[in-house]
Amino acid sequence: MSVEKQFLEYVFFAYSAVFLLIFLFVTNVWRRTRHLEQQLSALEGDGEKES
Amino acid sequence: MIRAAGWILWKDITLEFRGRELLVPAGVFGLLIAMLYGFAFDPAKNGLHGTFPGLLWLGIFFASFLAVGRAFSVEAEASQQLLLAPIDRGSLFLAKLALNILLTLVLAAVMTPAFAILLQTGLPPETGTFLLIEALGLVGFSAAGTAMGALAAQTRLRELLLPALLLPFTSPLLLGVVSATKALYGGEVAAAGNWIMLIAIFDVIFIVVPVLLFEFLTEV
Amino acid sequence: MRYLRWVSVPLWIAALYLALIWVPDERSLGVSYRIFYIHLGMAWTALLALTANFVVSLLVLFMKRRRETLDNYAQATAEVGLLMTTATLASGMLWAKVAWGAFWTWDPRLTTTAILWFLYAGYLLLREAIDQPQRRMVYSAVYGLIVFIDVPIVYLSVRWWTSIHPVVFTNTGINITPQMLIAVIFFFFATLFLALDLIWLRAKQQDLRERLERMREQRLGELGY
Repeated sequence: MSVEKQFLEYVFFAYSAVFLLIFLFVTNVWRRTRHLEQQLSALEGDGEKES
Repeated sequence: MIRAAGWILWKDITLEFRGRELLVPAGVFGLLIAMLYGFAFDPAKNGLHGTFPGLLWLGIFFASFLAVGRAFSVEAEASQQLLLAPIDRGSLFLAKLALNILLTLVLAAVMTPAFAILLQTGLPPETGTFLLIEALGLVGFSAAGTAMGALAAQTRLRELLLPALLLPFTSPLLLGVVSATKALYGGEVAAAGNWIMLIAIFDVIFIVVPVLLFEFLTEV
Repeated sequence: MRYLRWVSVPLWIAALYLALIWVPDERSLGVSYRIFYIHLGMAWTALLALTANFVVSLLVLFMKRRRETLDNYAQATAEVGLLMTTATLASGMLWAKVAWGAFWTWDPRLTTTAILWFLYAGYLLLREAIDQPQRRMVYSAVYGLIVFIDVPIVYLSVRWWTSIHPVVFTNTGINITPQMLIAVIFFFFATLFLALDLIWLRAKQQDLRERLERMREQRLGELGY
């Protein structure tokens, strides 16, 4: 039983490790993309006011 | 192409003779590695025969870094005047490769006896085959080092980037030369022959491919 | 590309269900062998992403048009490839602990994957260290080509090396049943679609960055700087 439990733990660790990596990557990309989009829209808004 | 390469090589050798900026620091570093290995692993107490090939080759590779990394940085610092010369780009690569092979061979010629004496192992039997392994191994390391050095020289980090690019890249070469040397110590000449084949394949591929691709690097 | 996620999410749910619940336990390894599904999916997709990086690098060097877009994909494929290689190593080490009793063995595939990781970490370092866009594009493409050629040589050398090395842990092989094969295939496609999505996302972001930079320059020019 304890071996079974240990095996389950390892399965859990492996899957969550992989998901954590992907999650970190995706959130990083999203955050930076949003930042870029904000800057871009600010710049575009600026231009419209001037012209 | 060969003639132009010869002139560039001659220029670099003359520079090296006048300034001794590469071989002296790298050679001193190489000898120092042998001393420090001696302190760290205590060859008098624990015989180092099993680990000697690995220690020797890592030492040679590390010392060669100092020499190989400079080949293109020199040109980068001279604001790339050489690239303005009306010569084939491949010949520039070949010239730098030849220079690096010469430098690493001189380094190895100094370091190998020093290692064999200070670590108290002696050279492997079949010394002729061992010299062949050294020559082929250093040609491969120089080829990879020249290619990666050309890339690294144009970055912000210059030679600092080189270990991260070159060491994983030459890992099959390191395995090859260490295993071949080990096989010689064990008296298995046939096994060493297989490894020598692998080293030779590495040499040929990574001389030919960078020569073909070098044109692209000089465009930008 | 926008609808990729609508395929990807159900695929992931299905794959997770198949791999974690539907497939029965393996005889000798019990529940632990279920790591194998995510491990294999990640490994295959990582290899595909890095192969895509090789193809894109070739195209960057030999195509005349749209090289900037291709360069964005070179960055994206290398990053996603490295991410999935990291995932392969992480899940593989945990599985090795269960199956072979140690986190790390000098198994040829394990060792090759580790070297692969370093090679492509170097790729991203190289990109990071070059400021000029044109040069970054060409230099990293050349590095990408050379490194990809190196990978089979690494694998060959490591295999020879381990064959003369005493192998401490024998590989506990798994006989694949049809049921397991279905789960493997589902997991592979799930990770593949995830990778495509991530690559697209990252390339789009790079594109956005370039547009922003161009716009900034234009604006500064208008203002007379």
